[in-house]
Amino acid sequence: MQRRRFVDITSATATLGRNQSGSVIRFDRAAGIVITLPTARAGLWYDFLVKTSVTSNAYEVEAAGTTKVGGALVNSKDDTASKSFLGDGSSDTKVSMNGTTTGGRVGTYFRAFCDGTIWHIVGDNASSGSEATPFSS
Amino acid sequence: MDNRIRVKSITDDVTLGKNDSGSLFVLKSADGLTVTLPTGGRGLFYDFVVGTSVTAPDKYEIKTQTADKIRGVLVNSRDDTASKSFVATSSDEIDMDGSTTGGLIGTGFRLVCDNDGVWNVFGLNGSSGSEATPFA
Repeated sequence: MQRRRFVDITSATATLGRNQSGSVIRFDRAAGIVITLPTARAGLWYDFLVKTSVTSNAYEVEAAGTTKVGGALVNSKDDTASKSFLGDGSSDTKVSMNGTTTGGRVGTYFRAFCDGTIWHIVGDNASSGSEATPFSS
Repeated sequence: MDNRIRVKSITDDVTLGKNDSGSLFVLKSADGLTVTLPTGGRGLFYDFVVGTSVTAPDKYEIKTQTADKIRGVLVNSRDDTASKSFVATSSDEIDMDGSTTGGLIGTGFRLVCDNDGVWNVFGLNGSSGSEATPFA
């Protein structure tokens, strides 16, 4: 039987290690968390889910150094048409979720893969209000 | 020791092997390419992301072997725009043209083969323009 390793983040900042690749990283601090990904290396991957909705500041996943972030996140509102946002992989460096329009609420689940050059982010991002992009530089 | 998955960049037409199962394939050719899946087998799975957006009229094509089919859902995701989902019940290919049928950076999906030789797909498909089905 295979099981996934869960890592609960409850501090304001955290830097992931390569040895945590394959883990499910849980956001668990309503006052926000900034998570820094490790230096880009092909094959690293992490799943992220929100255990506690962020209510102040933001939940952020940022690339280290000059590495960029690409991908797609669907900002999902309950019982409402969804809106997608694309990260361009050339200028975006992070995913930032504010607890409302840019997501970061319970229900959020996405995966980050590294191809050795950029991080690809794919998944669902539970949001509210008028959706806005979670990708930024 | 880190738990990494195998990553393989694809820049030209290729037929995948069963021993490639579990790998992440990065599609990297603006001129398009064709990926042919192996004969379906229970538990085989492949992840795909787009590293270079394909430029129409070229395409990224993911094809099954003749006897196999594709089922599942892809959400054609346009930036800052309502999404549209497309459902496959018995398709032979996923065709992404760099615009309406997807294949832009942002695309990421998985194909998992079940007991019946059916490839089940789920994920997001970065697209633009008036979305159209990537399934053929």
